[in-house]
Amino acid sequence: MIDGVGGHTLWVNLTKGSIEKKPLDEEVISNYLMGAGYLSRVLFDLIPQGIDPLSEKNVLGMATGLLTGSMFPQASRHVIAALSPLTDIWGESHAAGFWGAELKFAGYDAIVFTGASTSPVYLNIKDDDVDLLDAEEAGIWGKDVFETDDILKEKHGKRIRTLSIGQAGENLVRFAAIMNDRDRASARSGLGAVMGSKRLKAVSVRGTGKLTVADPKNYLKQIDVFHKRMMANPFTPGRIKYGTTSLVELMQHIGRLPSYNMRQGVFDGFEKISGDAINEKYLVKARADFSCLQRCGRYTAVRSGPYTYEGGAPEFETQSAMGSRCGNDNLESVLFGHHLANQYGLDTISLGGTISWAMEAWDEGLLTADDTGGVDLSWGNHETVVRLTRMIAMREGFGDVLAEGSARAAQKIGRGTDKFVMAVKKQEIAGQEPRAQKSMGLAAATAARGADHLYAFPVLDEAGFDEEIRERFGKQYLPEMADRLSPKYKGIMVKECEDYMVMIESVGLCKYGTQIPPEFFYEDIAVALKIHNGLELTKRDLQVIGERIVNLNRLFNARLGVTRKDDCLPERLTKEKAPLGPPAGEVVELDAMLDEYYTERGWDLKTGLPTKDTLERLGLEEDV
Amino acid sequence: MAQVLVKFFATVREVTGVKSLELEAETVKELLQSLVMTYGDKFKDTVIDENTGNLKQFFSCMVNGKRIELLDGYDTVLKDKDSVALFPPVGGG
Repeated sequence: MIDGVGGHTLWVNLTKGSIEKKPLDEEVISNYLMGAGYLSRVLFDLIPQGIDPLSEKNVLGMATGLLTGSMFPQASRHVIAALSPLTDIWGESHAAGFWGAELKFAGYDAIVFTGASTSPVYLNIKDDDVDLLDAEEAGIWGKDVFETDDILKEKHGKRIRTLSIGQAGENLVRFAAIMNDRDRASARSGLGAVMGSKRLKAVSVRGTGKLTVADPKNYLKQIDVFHKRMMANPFTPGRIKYGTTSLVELMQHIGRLPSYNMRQGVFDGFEKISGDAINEKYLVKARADFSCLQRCGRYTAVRSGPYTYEGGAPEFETQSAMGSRCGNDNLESVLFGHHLANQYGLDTISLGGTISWAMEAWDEGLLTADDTGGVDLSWGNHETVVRLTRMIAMREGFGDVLAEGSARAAQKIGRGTDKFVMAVKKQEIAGQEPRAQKSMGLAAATAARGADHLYAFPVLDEAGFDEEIRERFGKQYLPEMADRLSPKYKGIMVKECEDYMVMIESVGLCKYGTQIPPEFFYEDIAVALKIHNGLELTKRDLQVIGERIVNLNRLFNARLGVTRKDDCLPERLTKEKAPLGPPAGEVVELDAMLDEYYTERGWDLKTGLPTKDTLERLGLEEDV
Repeated sequence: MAQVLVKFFATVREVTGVKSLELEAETVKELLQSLVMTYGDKFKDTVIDENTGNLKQFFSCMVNGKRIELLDGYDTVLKDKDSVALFPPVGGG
């Protein structure tokens, strides 16, 4: 077995209540690494076609990366995947924290849950002792994420790490998150509802084992080099001081801050919800996850008034989703709303995207108090944003309609409200107004899990990465590739970034440090995999693995009917010109970018599916 | 000389102590020199690369929301009422 891993996958059949421990499959690792790649392979083979994502036939996987738990900067990540109840296609979500590293220290790299329990359970892991326990008897079923963490620590010791769903997951909210370490979220794709449907409340873990490393002689010396590079990077001081919260001002300045349900990319109240506003009055301290030198997590507190709380702080996505997107400049409500979303276990991006859809429908007179049970949905009504967060998690009143996500809610309400759904493949678009950054529009259209900025995370055209573009792609692509308003070469960039980012999600590293800032690249990952795991992989090997994973994700979705027609954006973004700010007059030229992207991928231009040659090149010809 | 509004963000703002400043400059290069004169060594050490005299790596200067690399770089000519922004390394999603 390779070094640097726990060495086993736990296979948990929730219907039978059985647990089996199997050694890792090294052939899968050589073709897909671990993390996102491993789950892509395993779940492709296990999830049947034509099933209800909330039925016992769905399979839920959790996996760490090959470097998770190592001393590489930001080696804190784990991945969760299943058929998504929000999009009905490939669902995948990632989080940092300490849970993933702890799982490896217990001797496990992944857990695969099949079937469904008839009564609520949780999985408790203490090294070799792995038990499915009664969640009702433990008093955690029906409880929120923080209560669950408190109760399990009381029961199993304060050094355990917990991963759980809150009430939103139990109530099968289609954008329920899976939380770990209290306020870290695998939020996208609604995988919390899959846990809820399996009546699996939590996975608590304590690992006292150690990871071996392949090259103990050179390990610390090389890790020291990586650490010094990360600390010397010009991004690091700002990350520690602001996390991602200072992005609000940058995005406002380039007209990319989704506002009023993406009617526009600038928001008059941006300063009130900015990173400076948070730091000035509410910041408690920065926080770091396992082996994290960027420390972009934070704790904040509101000390008085209706929004009093202390806990995890919002990042840019939540400032945008619950703030500008809803026309809401009341910062305390954004901070508290984010806290509630963590407590109940909700994806704040889809939460804000769904509430802002309803607000626009209200503004257009297509939703009334008769529909909402008297809830006032005026733009900027911060009390409504907070109130609906609870109503959605509990599926109370109009919250039950919104708990289905904006696409299904629009279908139910009708009256043309689907025009205001800012989603791709039924998942709400994140905090990037794509008319102000074309690469983000393409990335949202092509991502395997529906609208998603992270699958490709094509940030190289955002602000000042010309040198990196020159090195990664070649000078012939400048200046267009670095121009966020130009659609040219964005197909090439998004393809390259997707392959790289899924590889990074398969080794368990953060995108901060590997993509922005672009401090570490393929060559560094190859060195880390050699000294930590003893794997001899070249840059080219890792590129092909990334490409293989993306193609396998595409085949998973193709089995469910996804083709080029589904790689689309809301008409607002492709046909209506941006009304304000630097992108005024712009639309997303999606078709031209898609042509370039499919060509670069070796996918058929008409269907958007991998050609036979491409599949053969990647060793996937038998998966069709 | 054009009268422009310069906006400072995050760690650049910490050095200047103000959110914005109106000043006169013909080009971006002149504007940066003027800011060094106004805010002294602390600004220079934080923002300017001593070898090139340009902005340090990953710092970003935009004129009316457009990066100067896509205009005429440091020779970009400024006009009255232009809005110039100076960002420290920041980005992501």
